[in-house]
Amino acid sequence: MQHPNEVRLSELGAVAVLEILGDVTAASENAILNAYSEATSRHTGPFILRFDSNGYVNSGGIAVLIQLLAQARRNRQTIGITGLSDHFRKIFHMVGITKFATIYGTSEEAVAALTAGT
Amino acid sequence: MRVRMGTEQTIVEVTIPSQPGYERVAAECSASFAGVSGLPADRVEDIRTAVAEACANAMEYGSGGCQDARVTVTLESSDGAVVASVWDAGTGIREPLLHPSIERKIQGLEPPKGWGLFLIRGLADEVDLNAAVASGHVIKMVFKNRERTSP
Repeated sequence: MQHPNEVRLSELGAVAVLEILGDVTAASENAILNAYSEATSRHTGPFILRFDSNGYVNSGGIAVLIQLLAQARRNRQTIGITGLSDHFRKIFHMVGITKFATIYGTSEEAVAALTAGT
Repeated sequence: MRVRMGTEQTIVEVTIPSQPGYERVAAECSASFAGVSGLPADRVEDIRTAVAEACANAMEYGSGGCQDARVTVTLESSDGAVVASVWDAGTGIREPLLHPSIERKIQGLEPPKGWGLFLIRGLADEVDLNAAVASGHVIKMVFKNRERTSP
């Protein structure tokens, strides 16, 4: 019943973008963490996680994102988040993800903030 | 889905397989019920997430991973609130419920998972986690018809 994610890698200037299509659940672990590892092997700068605004993130997906944030912290990478609905913005605040990544309204806004001063 | 008509309230009952992914079916039914019952959009989203999390917990713990088991959600509208109850065949929650810490999880001092009950408690106005019934266990969640100022 659970469908695999597609994670697309791209770059916006000096910022790498991981676009996560579909729902984010425990079943997303391999797709998301493998994509991040692949991207990190050639990009050491800041990242944007771009979510599907119609997607759903459950507690299992939050655990996957925490693993990614832990790796990013070890790699000293700054993470921005875009594409969240108002509800999942609230959820990310509740959990505390916003202590380790900043939510932006658009990718352009995220790139401007993540590359400011560089 | 089954609808039981009562004299004062209408109860909707949804039974799903105890298999990951089907919690979305119960969650969508719950959101639809909340919308029809007049809850505002943000509360509809709250019930969608909370029911999905309660069903996922029921599948993992209440059903012990047995995919032949079933999880049932009942939805009632009462006094302007929606009451969602998630039923499984388990024995309820016996271990102390610790408040998860994202700082400790990021540091690797706690497993990254463990957010389901935290979300349920944060999204519902009232939660009864350990309502025992003859055939198992039920989590009962109340969602009031009002704008919440903070989670």
